[in-house]
Formats: sequence, structure tokens, C-alpha cells
Amino acid sequence: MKGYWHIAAFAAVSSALTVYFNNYWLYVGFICWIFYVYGSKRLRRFPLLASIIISLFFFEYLPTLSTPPQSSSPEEILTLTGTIVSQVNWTEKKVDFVLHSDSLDQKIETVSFLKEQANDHITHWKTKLRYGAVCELTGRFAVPESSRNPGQFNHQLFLAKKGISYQIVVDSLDTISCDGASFMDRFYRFRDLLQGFISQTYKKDSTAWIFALVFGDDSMLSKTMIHLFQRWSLAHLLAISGLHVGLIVGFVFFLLIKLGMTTKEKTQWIIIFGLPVYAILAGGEPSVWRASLMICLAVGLAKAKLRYPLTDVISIVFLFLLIVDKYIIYQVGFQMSFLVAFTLVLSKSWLAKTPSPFFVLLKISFICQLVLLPIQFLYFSTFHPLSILINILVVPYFTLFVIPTVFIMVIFSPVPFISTVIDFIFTFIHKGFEKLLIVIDQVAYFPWMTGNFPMWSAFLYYGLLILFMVLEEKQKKTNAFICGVGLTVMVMIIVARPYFSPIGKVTMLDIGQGDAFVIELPYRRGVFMIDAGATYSFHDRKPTESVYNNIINPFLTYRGIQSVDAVFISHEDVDHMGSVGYLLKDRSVKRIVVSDQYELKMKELNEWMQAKGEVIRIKPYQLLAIKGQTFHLLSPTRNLGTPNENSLVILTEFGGERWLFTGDIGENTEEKLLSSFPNLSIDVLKVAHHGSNTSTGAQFIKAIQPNDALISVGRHNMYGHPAEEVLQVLKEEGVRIFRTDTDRAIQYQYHGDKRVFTKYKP
Amino acid sequence: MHCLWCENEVEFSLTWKSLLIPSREKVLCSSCRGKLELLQGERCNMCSRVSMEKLCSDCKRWQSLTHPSSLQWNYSIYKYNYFMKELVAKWKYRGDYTLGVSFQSIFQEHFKVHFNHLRKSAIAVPIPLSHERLKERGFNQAQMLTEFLPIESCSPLERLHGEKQSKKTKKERITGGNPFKLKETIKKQVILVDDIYTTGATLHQAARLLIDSGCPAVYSYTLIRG
Repeated sequence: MKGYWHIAAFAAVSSALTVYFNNYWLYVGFICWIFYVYGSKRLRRFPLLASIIISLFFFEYLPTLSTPPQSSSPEEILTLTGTIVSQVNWTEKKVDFVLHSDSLDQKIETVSFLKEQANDHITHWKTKLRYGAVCELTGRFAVPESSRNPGQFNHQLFLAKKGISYQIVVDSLDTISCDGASFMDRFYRFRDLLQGFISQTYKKDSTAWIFALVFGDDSMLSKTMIHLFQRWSLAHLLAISGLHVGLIVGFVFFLLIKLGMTTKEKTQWIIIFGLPVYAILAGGEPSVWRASLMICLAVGLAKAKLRYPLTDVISIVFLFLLIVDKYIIYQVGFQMSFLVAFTLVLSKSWLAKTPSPFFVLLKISFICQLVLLPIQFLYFSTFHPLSILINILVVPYFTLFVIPTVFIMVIFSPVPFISTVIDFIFTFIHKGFEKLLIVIDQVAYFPWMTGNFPMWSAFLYYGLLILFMVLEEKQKKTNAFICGVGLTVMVMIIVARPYFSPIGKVTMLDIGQGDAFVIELPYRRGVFMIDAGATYSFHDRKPTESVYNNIINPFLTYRGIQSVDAVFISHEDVDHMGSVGYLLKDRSVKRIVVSDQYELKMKELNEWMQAKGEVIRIKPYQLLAIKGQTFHLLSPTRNLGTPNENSLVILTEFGGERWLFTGDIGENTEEKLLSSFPNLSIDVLKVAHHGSNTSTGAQFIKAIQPNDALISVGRHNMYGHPAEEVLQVLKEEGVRIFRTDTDRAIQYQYHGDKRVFTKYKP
Repeated sequence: MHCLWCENEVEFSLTWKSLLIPSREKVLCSSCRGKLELLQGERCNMCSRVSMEKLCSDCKRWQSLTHPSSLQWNYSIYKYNYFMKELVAKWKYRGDYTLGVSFQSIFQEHFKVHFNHLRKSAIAVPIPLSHERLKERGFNQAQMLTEFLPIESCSPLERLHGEKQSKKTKKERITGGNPFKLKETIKKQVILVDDIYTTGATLHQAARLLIDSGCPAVYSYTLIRG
């Protein structure tokens, strides 16, 4: 089996892919390949049989991601007893952990949102809620929320990938009673203790980086910084991985042997037993385990005088981790860590041929980014070609400065004066780095965006990549170059697909109680938005960022939309314009279209001016043509009193169908419309005011005779929208109704005379 | 696996090349493989000798001696360096039959590249040993190499017992009488197979005999160019 463990790992991977995609051809492909290898005498019988048995084993062993049926009664109050089987994560706002309930035989994500007055009791609760404790708790038991819009984060799937299908929200910590703890809890408590001590010693910025890079806890880092690292494919630096563990081992070796504290033999034992402990203290993410176990196994094999190739070491660790936790295969960190590590092992001889250290770095950065590209698109929807260069700058900075320094800071944390000095120096230098990164991000961020990297293209991509590397290894430069060009062109085509697509799309996003429409013309000739609502925070007295961050931005990124030709804002209510400010900050918006009656506040005006978009006040009856799409303003023709009545009423055509966007107009305005345009006939109606009974009168519907009605409305909203009367009127007139509260996002696609509405399914 | 020569463990390393099509098991370790030297650069088109001229002086002489030329051309893989001498000595003279296996894959690979056009039309013929020599050595190294090839083979030649070729001088080799006898005639093209091409005398003599009996063309494929 020696020298062939990677084939066993391939076997496991092929089973995992087959199970995940539910596509048996993948497995057939693997079987054909392994028999070809055997038939051409490149594989002996034992590794062949072992690999097939391993693949069959994982076929049975690996879980499918079954999502539970959405129950009709979404929540029920339940009292559960179970054991805490994860770390307990405390943040300022909430505490969460995973509870294993014996009676349900299910893992349940348990969350409790902390009230401000609870702060005093947190120390008390920290001693109660411990790993391995048996708890009884009462809370609202539910199936976790799945995504409601394309591109949106799917919490249900996220938990399913951890083997969790239910969630319980505990209102107050007082309803939890816990007892005991397990052996593992000691490690977590030690970790807590260390973290507490460090946060007292160092300033907040330094603490955040020490937590992230020593304890694998990035909760203190700002969201912007984490996001920045993800955008530039630097996120691997935030995960504790081979780089960190390698540095630590090197440091320990240096300290113990060079300073003559122990022998080499003893140091090896220290590493074999010490690294797993560190892996736990460092948060136990898959990348830490991979790196630590690989070193432990390699050192152990060396002690036993067994020489195994590195590919075997990594494959054995892979299979081991998979057997210990079968859900680990679905974790991004696990996938990325093994993919990169395996790639580097494969490229060892290719890298060894390079004389200059700069080019070695360049090559490492290059091959790592290439191999991660499909995953980068799949999970983060963006890839930045320049990230290869950024990595060359940032990786050495982290390796030579940041990582060693944060460990030194941990070691010197009990020494008063030195710790202050290091803290000062570190903050000074690292602040500069953060600023530089932000500047680079502002100046040079021209990403490739798409959330849509189909399976077939991922296979084609990896096929080409392997061919490229083989040719590169054989020094067939010309062929390698051609292959590299092919690879680039392929990715460009995938990213540019919308520009070749003759299909136009209109998407009514489900942002809850509020409107947001995204229009993509065929061949991406133009992109428009009609309204971009948000929820209102009474606490901060302003629209919250959450709708933009969680729904609108992910959707635009998923569709690869970087600039919007025009945003129409129907009126000045937060549920229609609350996200416009965030949109302007984040993406280029060429035009902002509002009515003559729109009341512009100073703050808004400033924001809009900064964004450099043209502000258009559309005149009554004006035909506004942008990128070949004509928008016809039917109302307001004069001030109609309230912002709602003053909503933009826009008539436009998609694929030969006449659409009417009505904002929040009421019956009065509807009647005015009818008197001004007695022959108005509509195919698709955006039902006004989320289906409120103050709009959508029977007269109006009878007159305009729509085929389809779109209602953008929040689930369980407090206004009782949509009104029963409105639904009744629409039904009587035989209008097909699509509503975001029950159907999630609605997408209309048109091409020639083909038109189709689809409801988003997660 | 342990190296057939130095008995150190043969280390295994997976690279991109061997990712989808794993390489066959190596019988020599990488450091021993590294000591084998491939013929590289400009070569004589006739005899594969490393030479700046398209036709080396030796081959010019062969052409003037035998007209029309009996051997079309020869192709060899390795240089006859010190390590190769030791390897061949152990393989051939000291009877380490298995050591020959270490040449299997390279002998097949180069055949595919340089003799592919003859694959259908030619037959491989090993240079034979005399009965006495075969008894002494136990196996014929040329026969072993022939068996690696993916084409048909036959043994129409027979060798008369005489002084070992390696004990003769160049002049004796070239001017000596033909040591071969033909058992049957062959009407197909022939690829003569031997372990080493030194002066080319043996191969030219064998080729002469085959051509004279009506064989359309004779090529030779040898592991080493001496």
C-alpha cells in the first residue's frame, strides 16, 4: 500500500462527490480509471482491492445532506435534555453551542441572544455551560432558515453540513440548567483562561490578531478586515494552517535543541504529543488538524524508521479525519486545506527546479490560487487575478513578522514592560499594513464575479489545470502556454456568460417587508434596480445594513453584477430605498431616478453626490430610455399628498409583456391613472403597497387586466399584508399571484416569445 | 521495493505527471537512475553516436566498405559510462538476470518514439549467443531486450563459437569473417536487437547476412552506444 495511499484517498473523494452530487457517473469514472491503472500494470492488486473497498465503505459511511421538510407550524416550544458536544461560543450578542439530544438522537444548534442586563451573570453561566455538560433547556424549536434568494447564505445547508438539522432558540439563559463537564472541557477552559488573560494585557487590535492567529478565533477581527482578506484570497492566513504549525514546530525545535534543553529524540516526542493539544487550543478547525496530524505522523514514521512519501502521509491523515468526523468533508476549511496541501506536495519537484526564492513564492502563490479558483467562486463568488501578487507580499509579511510576533506576544504576556513595548510596535506596524491593504482594495479591486461555477466546468477546469502542470513539468513550454491560455479563456467565458446570454431576467428579491427588483437585460446590455429596501432599526434610527449585506449584495455578486445602470427609487420610505446608500458605497451606480415629488434629505444628497451617479428627476409622462430599455412615467404628475401616493408608477416592457411598477400607491392614485389612461392594459402588475387593502381596487384590476401579479411582502408581517380582499380581487379576475412570503424570490425570464416565472428553491 | 543495484529503498514521489497516470514501479532508485547517462544532443544519423556531423567518420567507413549499406541505421539509448559498464557486467557476465528489468520501461518508451513506423511491418531479431556462451551465461541479454518489445520476434540467426567480441581489436572485428549463420530466410523488415553497439561490426555482419538472403531492410536497436 505504501506509495499508493493517495489512490485510497481518491477513492474516498470520488465516493464523496458521488454522494454529494448524487451522480453515479462520477463513481463509474473512478472505477474505470482505477481499472485502467491496474490493467496497465501501474497498480498492484492489493492497492486496487483496498481502494475499491475504501470507496465502497465511504459510499455507505458519508452522509447525504438531507434537508428536513419545512414544517407547517414553524416553531414550537420544546423542553429538551442533552449533552453539549461543541465549544460554547460567547460573543457580545449571543451564546451558541451544539446540543446532542438523546431522545431525538439529533444534534441541535442552540442559540441564546443575550440581553444587556444579563451581562453580570455571564461569568456565572460560563462556569455552567461547558463542553460535555448535560443540560435541560426550553426554547423555540425550529428547522433552521434556508436561503430565500439566489446567492443568499443558506443557514439550513450550513448546519446540515455539520450534521445538524434543527435549531432551538432559548429566550433566557435562566431556563437552562446544566451539570458536569467532560475531560475535553479542561482544554477549552484553559483556552478561555489564556484568552481572558491576553485580552487584559494587550490592546484590542493586538488581541484580535492574537486570538485569530494563535487561538483560531477570528470573532474579534472586524467584519471589514475578514471580508477584505476573503476578497483578496488571503483568508488562508486567518485560518491556522500548515504555515503556522510549521513555524511553531520550527520554533520549538530551535528553542529546545539549539539551546540544549532536550535531545532531538525527546523533542520529537514533545511534538507528537504537544501538537494535538495545540490543535485543540487553536480552535480545532480542520486546517489545524490537518497540519498538526501530518507533522505528528511524519515525525512518528521517521522515528519508526519508515519512509513514506508525503502523499501517503497527507492521504492517511485525510482518511483518518474523514472517519473521525464524516461531516468534515463538507467544510470549506477542510476542502481548501487539503487541496492546497496536496497541490504543494505534487508541485515539490516543480518548485525545487526554481532557483530564485522570489519565483518560488510566485509559483506557490500562483498554483495555490489556481487550484482554489473554483472553490473561491463557489463560496465567495469572486476571484481577483491580482490576488496572486498580493499573496506574494502578504504571505512573507505574515510568515516573518505577524505570526512570530503574535506568538512572542503570548509568551511575553506575563512580563509587564516588554509586553507593552511589543504591543506598541506590533500595533504601529500592523495598522500601517491594514491601511495599505484598504488602499490597495480601493485602488485596484477589479474582481471577476460569479457565483455560478457549474459542476461540469469545474471538472473541465481541473482537467486543464492538471494537463497544464504536466506540460509545465515536462518543460513543454509552448504547449503549457497554450493550455494556460485555454484555462484563462475558460474562466473568462464562465464569468462573462451573462454577456452572451440572450435571456433577460427580472428578479423580485425576497427582502421581507419591502421592495427590491433587479432587472438584467438580455446580453447584459443593462442592469437596473427598482427600489432597494431595507429594514429599519428603531435602535439606531436608520436603515440597517442587513438586507443589503445578506440579500442584495450576495445576489448581485452571484449574478456577477458590478455596476448598475440605474436605480429607480419609488418613494422615500425605508422599505423601498433603505439599501440605496449601501449600494452606492459598494458598487458603481450610473443613475438614480426619482420623481419630482421626492423629498431629498441633505444626508442622502451628500451620499448620492459622493457616489458620482447622475440624479435624474423624471418628469410626468416622460419616456426615459436607458441602454435601450424605455421606462414610461405614468405618475406622479403633481404632488399627491403623501410619499406613498407620490410613488413612481413606471410602465415598461420585458419580452413583449407590459409591466407596471406601482410603488406604494393607493386606490386614489389608481383611479387617477385610470382616468388619465383609460385604455391602460398590463400583463404583469407589481401589486402596490405589499398587497395592502388601501390599494389594488377591483375597478383597477378589472380595467388593466393583468395576467400575473407580484406581491413583495414579508412573512408574518405586522400589517397583515397582503390583504385578503386584494387576493380575492386578483383571484376573481383570474390573475396568477406570486408572493415573496410564500414563494421566496421570484424570477421572470424572457427570450424571444418565451416567458417564464420561477419561484426560487434553495 | 529496494533498488536492484544499491539495495536502498526506492523512494516514491507523486508529481503532476504521475497523478492521473501513475508511473510504473521503478526497480532502480533515483540516485542510481541518475548515474545512467542518456545520449543527448547532436547524433550521427546512422549509428546514434554523439557527433556534430550528420554522418560520423566510422559510418562513412562502413558505407565505403559495404556498398550498398547493409544496416539502415542504429538507434541507442544510453552512453557506455562507468556505471553502465558495471551494471552490464553484473547483468551479463555475472548472471544477474533481473537487473535487465530495469531497462524495460525505457526500452519500450524509446521504441515507441523511434520505431513506431516499423511497428506493423517489422520483426525483431535478437543477436544470438553461441551455444557455448549461452551455456556459460545462462541467458541471452539481447533475447531479454527483444522480449520487452511490443512486436513479433524470431531467431533466424545462429552464432558460431569464437573469441568474445570484447576481446578483439577494432580491426579484427571489422575485417573478421562473419560469425553468423542463417537458419531461415526472412522477407519482412528486421529490427536487430542487441545490448550494445560498439564498432557496429556484429550488427553489420548480421545485417549483411539477412540482406543477402533477401530481407528488404535491416535496422538495429541497441540499449547502449559504446
